[in-house]
Amino acid sequence: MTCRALCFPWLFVLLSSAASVHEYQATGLVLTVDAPHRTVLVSHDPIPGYMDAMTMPYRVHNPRELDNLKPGEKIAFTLVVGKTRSYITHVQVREYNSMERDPAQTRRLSILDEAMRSKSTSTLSHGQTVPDFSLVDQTNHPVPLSEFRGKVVAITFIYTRCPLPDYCMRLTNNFARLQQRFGDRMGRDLVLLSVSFDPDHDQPDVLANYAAQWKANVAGWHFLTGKLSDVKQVCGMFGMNFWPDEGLMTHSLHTAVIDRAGKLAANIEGNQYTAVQLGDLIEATLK
Amino acid sequence: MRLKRLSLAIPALLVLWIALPVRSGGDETSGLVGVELIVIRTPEEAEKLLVRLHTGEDFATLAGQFSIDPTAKDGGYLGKVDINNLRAELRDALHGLKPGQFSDIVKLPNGYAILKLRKEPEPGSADDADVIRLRTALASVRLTPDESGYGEFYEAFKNSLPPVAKLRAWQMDLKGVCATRQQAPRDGIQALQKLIAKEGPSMETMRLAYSHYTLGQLFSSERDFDSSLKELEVVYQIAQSSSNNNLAWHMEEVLGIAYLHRGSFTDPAVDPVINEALLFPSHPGALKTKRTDVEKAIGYLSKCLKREPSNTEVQWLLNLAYMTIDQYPSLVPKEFLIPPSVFASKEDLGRFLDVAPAAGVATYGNAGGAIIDDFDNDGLLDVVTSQVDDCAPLHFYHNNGDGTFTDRAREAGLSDQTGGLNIIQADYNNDGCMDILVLRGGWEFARRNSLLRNNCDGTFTDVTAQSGLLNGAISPSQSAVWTDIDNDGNLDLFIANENAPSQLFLNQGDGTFTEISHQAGIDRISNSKAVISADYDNDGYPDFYVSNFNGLNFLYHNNGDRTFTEVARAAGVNQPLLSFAAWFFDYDNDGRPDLFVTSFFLSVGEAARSYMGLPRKMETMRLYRNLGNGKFEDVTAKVNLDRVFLPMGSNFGDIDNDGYLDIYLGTGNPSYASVMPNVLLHNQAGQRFTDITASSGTGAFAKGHGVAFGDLNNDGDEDIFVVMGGPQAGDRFPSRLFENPGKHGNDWITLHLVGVKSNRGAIGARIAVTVLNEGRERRTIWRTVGSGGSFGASPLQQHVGLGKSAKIEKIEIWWPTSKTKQTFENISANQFIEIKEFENSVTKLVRPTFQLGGPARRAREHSTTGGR
Repeated sequence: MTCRALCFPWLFVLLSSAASVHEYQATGLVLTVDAPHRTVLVSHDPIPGYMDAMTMPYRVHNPRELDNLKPGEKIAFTLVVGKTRSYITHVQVREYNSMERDPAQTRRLSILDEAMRSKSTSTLSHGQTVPDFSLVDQTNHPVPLSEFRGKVVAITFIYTRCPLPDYCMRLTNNFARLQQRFGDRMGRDLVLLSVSFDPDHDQPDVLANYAAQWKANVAGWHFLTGKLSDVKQVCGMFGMNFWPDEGLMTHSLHTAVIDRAGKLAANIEGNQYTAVQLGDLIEATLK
Repeated sequence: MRLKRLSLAIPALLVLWIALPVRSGGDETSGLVGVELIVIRTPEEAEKLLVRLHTGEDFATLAGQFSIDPTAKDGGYLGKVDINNLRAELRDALHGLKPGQFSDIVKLPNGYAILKLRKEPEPGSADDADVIRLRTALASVRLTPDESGYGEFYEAFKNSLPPVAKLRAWQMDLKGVCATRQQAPRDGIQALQKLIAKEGPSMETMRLAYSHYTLGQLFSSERDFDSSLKELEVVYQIAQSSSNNNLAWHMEEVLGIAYLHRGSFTDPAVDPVINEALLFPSHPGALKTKRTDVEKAIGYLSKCLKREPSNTEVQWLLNLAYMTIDQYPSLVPKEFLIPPSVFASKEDLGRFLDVAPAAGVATYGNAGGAIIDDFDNDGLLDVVTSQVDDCAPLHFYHNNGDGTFTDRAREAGLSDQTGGLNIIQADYNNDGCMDILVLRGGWEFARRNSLLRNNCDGTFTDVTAQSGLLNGAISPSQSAVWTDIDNDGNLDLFIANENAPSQLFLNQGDGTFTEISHQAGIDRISNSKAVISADYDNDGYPDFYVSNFNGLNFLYHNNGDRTFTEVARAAGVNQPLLSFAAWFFDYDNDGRPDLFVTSFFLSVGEAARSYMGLPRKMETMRLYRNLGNGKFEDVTAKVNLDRVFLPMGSNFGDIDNDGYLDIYLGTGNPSYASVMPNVLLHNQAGQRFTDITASSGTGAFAKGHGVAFGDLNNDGDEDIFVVMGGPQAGDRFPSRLFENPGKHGNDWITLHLVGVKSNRGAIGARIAVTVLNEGRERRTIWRTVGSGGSFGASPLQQHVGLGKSAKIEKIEIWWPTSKTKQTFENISANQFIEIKEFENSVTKLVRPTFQLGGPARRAREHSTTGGR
């Protein structure tokens, strides 16, 4: 936790003290990919027997391992620590592969809809400019995305009636942690958007309540709703799917980061990353 | 990720609980408190945290950051626990703590703990559903996967709806709705087959696996289990060959469930006389199981369980699989055995027999509603059933008076009335003949309801449009209640809708209704699953209670001027959060209507935990005792109802004529994994409810929907009728008719009330029967005329159990419209009487008594020489 930025000197000390070559299996979230320098910045999970969770730039052994690697992806890799140098290899993207009820059903229903409606999904890809959209916030004011050009925007999707702690609550809790971490940069450099995909229920007053519960600093954290068709359109850009299901919602989980230029920097599916990793990703995008 | 968490959870549970908490019968001190927890490896670290806590840092945040306990991810929230069941160190640490305070450091075998007693909000102070949602946050509750294809079926159905411009016409056209319901899943199957054929070879592996998975689900929903299993096996193979462990392990559970379903719960060989199959505890040899399927199921489920021993859902399914091949408990591996003792009844009131086949009412079908009442005024209770399947017509089982029933739906003009998750009855036009209301769209989406007027000649006419009930919006509904809100002698109608405003229709007395939802102030929007009525504050005007799934409940107090005020929070009755069926009944015979509300959460694992006596992690059903001052007290735990059952259709009645109302819960949810026994709870003198499922033989497996209590053979005790089955073709079961063994030896009286100024069916009239039991104990037994619970409708005639050697001292009736009271003395017990408003005497009704099951049952008993 103490070393959140580049830690080369520390690593160097550690490496030189190592007696021989060691290999460690590790996982983490990709923050940036620097192909020319053959490095990838990773916010990695704890590496048992080696180091705590932290952000580290790693050199890849084979530059082709960086092909197709994108910020926001969860990866597994082997860290090879030698006497004089270290690198990573066997980099594998870990798809969100939870088999819990909701994620599993979400995938099945997406395929069914696609097959039945023969609609192709036009989810934004990494680096694409996010088209402007406008939804209303918890004070019933229209909030266009373009208003935040020049700032980093993190956007996630929730519904307030979600009773499951691992889903919407987790995502909202991530944002609450971001708000703490980024403090006075909230609203100035970083904007958080929580979009409800249950707009019939989540009217502005409901969202205002929700914002209060999460002690949201509304200068930088907006809770958005709108017409169902508008919400659907925004969700569609990020591959976010949802279905009403016996009074609840079956839905996918997405959190996206848009850079200062309005381009999609990352789109993380699922909930298998920490708020710290998400914060690291934003930190990297802010730079 | 989850596996890792679960594997951590086991030692934690072992560490925290010394023994399985088993509730003792008379325990009145069941104090459940919310406990939060931080566990740290070293005492030094624990000390540091304690300092930080004392400086005011947030417990949950620190727990999330530092605790090594699996609860860390829930901010350390352990759940509501009974302190007495915790190990001594923890119990001592919590002792004397006030809510909001935390303990000193406690040494545990695996580390050092700090505990905090959660500060629960003052009763009635929480009006914010979201706050309650956070508090009930279902920490690590495992949701039952939808392994039935109902989700896919529903989505295909939704994808096949007509465009908005044509939607209303479609909602009005029951034939069209049926056609769409049938065609949609077929279209879904075709579309997926095309997708796989076209893109399969080039598809990314996961996507291909999921395409087969989705197809398998739809086949399963459509009852094509062979094709379904083929697809699911393909998914399993893909998962294995691509080393996708997550998916492979998941598919083992899915395949286990699918093989068990095909092997044991489809096409059950039902005996043509008495159905003992699909009952809990299983009746040896009664279930004609496809043994190879069940053996496969056992193989898959065992694999899952070995990997994840704390998965109580799979553990339950494994035990169930052994039950279906008559090898429970002997062959269940010891480490996975759920011992029969946890299901054993502490009381035996005799075994009920399911005589539905012999009686001719064992409809093989889907989820639906049930009414028991006399529709042709011949003194015999008939049975009407509906099904959620939009192509299945109503069944109108006419009671032949010899133990058998004949379906007269066609003759009665009811065979065009298809679909409807629920039905209720009332004489809305005061002509002396019971009419029917069909409610459609529940859990799905809107199509029209039907009001079916009884023409008093054995036929019904659909008068929905002319009555004005279709003038407003058409919304999905599965619950409505008839009551006279303004005491004008005409029954008004409250319809609870799902995610649409509730509706209140004022009866104009000329066969038409005017909607006054908004003026009346009852048009709140929620996912409403039940509406029930009672004059809970005894001010002479009936009130409404609306139960909502995933929202707070509403108590609408009748202001006496056709307007209502919502007072659920102040009255203390706005939970559970995931409410379903509900009713008012006077469970303790103190003359005040109490309130019962079920909670419906999709976790078989939690229901299994509840049986096994493990601490529960989710809300339970609620029993609210009416305090008589407009407020209610939550007595759920006090009466032993703080258990998790996944109830759906349910109702109440007095099965042993002791004067106290008992509860029958139909259980389940669409998943084929949710096969739990239905539950019969005996009310012990208004003190507590005792589970007598096993001893009574009423633990029907599979999905229990509409439940009605009624004395169908006029022998002086109430039988139980249950519509069984899930929502789609792959989940059909025969209805059940449990004949009451009548072994209690208690007395009874049945009152048929006829209103003159009050509504003719006497809905809302109150009955007090004062008896002297065994010549020494005087007490009053209370009833209010109505059809009972929200999901299943019992007869309006009121069957009143009177207890041992009862001498009726007086019968008092309060009539709602005329505000008159009648008192009758010298009435003998054990008879049927009619009481008419304003009249000075009662009329004895002569009704034939007979055995249910008719000739078929007699022949069976004859052939077994001397009967059973």
